Amino acid sequence: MEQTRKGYRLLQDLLVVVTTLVLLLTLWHIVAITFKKPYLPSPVLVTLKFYELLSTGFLLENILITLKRVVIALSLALILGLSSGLLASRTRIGNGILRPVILATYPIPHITLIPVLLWILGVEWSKIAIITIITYYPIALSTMEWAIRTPREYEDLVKSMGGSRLHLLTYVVIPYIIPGLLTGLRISVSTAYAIVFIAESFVLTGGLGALIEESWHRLDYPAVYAYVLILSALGVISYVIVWILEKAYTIRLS
Amino acid sequence: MKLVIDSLEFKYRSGDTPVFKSFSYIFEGPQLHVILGSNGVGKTTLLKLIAGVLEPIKGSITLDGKPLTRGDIAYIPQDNELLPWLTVYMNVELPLRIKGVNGDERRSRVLEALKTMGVLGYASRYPKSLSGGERKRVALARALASYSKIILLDEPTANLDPRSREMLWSYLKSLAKDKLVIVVTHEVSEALREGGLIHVLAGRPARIVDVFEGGESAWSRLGKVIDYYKIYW
Repeated sequence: MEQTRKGYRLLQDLLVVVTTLVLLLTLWHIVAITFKKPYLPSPVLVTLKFYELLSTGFLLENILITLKRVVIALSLALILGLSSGLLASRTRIGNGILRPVILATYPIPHITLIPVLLWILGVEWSKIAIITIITYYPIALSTMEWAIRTPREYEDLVKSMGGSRLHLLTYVVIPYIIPGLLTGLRISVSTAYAIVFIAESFVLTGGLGALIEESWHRLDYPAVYAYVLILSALGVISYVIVWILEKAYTIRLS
Repeated sequence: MKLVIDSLEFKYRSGDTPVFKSFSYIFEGPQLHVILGSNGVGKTTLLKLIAGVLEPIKGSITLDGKPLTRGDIAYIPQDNELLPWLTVYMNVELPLRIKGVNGDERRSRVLEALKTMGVLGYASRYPKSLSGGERKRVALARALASYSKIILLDEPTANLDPRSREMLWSYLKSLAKDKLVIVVTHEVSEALREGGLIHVLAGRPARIVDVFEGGESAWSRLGKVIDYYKIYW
């Protein structure tokens, strides 16, 4: 009963999403054929372009380059964000030194660091580094905030069993902060795809960002749209994956 | 088994009247002890001090002459007695894991304890899907599986229906046959009815003002116990 109702609701939600997408595409098509501007190709043209690009194999290659950069950067951000967030909230030294540093460097417009990173790290790693830096903050901040709020009673329980600091971390703090961590990661994931475009369009060494930049200069508008849509789709898919993980974890606990 | 509390002193904030000052007491076991007292008198504080969750300013707590090691005690707080992100099985297993007990022994002890407390069927469920009474029984199973000699329970029957209360008390009495069980409650009638050795905690700084056996004969004390609540608070 409960199961069928949930299934029905999911179907309804899906229907809303599909209808909205169809409506948007129709609207796009109407606007495109009405105004007939080169910078606004119709979705039909973009789709045709997409198939043309897909058949070359070179599109897939560049998608993989972009994905690789995003995955490496997000993994680094996750490791650094989680560990520094825990240190900043769970140790006295971290709380005294690391926490103010994280909070003070957060509002800096990090994207402006690209030229500096380029000198220091070279072309490839500067791209990864800028994504890492920007996606690091949501993860570190949510880890910090959640770790501070860890309920005392759960810590007391593990302490009364003779648990060490490591036990507290593995059995209480980390399981408690996972929902917050995933929320931070969800924000980071969608940001990562925005940043990867900027990073890849700076010095063109492959990836969807470079392709967008290149097609733009060639005035190949259908290609620009096709690449932008692919990049967006990657963003949406990654976002949904993290969102599902988040839901799956919290459902168990409530 | 002798749990000796010697000249304990504790306060939450400096400047406050201490909750305990020169508090000395002995709990002997195996036995069911019930600490009665009004809200805020220091019952939970006393349990947390024994459990090692709070540190006293002064004084010591020893078991048979030796300082308490944390694994000696199973502490069951009033709420949040289980970790919500672990299954029932993993919750019961936790103290054994912390102690470093090996896999086979751990498994057999956990299963045995779950069976004794009648919660074996819930092994793979998460605490949120259990009723209050079931959660308490799982917490008791955890106490039973661990090697602890002392079990501390804070208001274990709060928010339980009458049937679950009765069941819980019978489990507590059977556990008290070979462990030192200390239950803290403010519910006078329940404590008097269910028995065990009743200690009345009152005053600030708190002290034990009366000790008597619970059960049928204790009903004559009802008026007096209620007076303790009024006088000392």
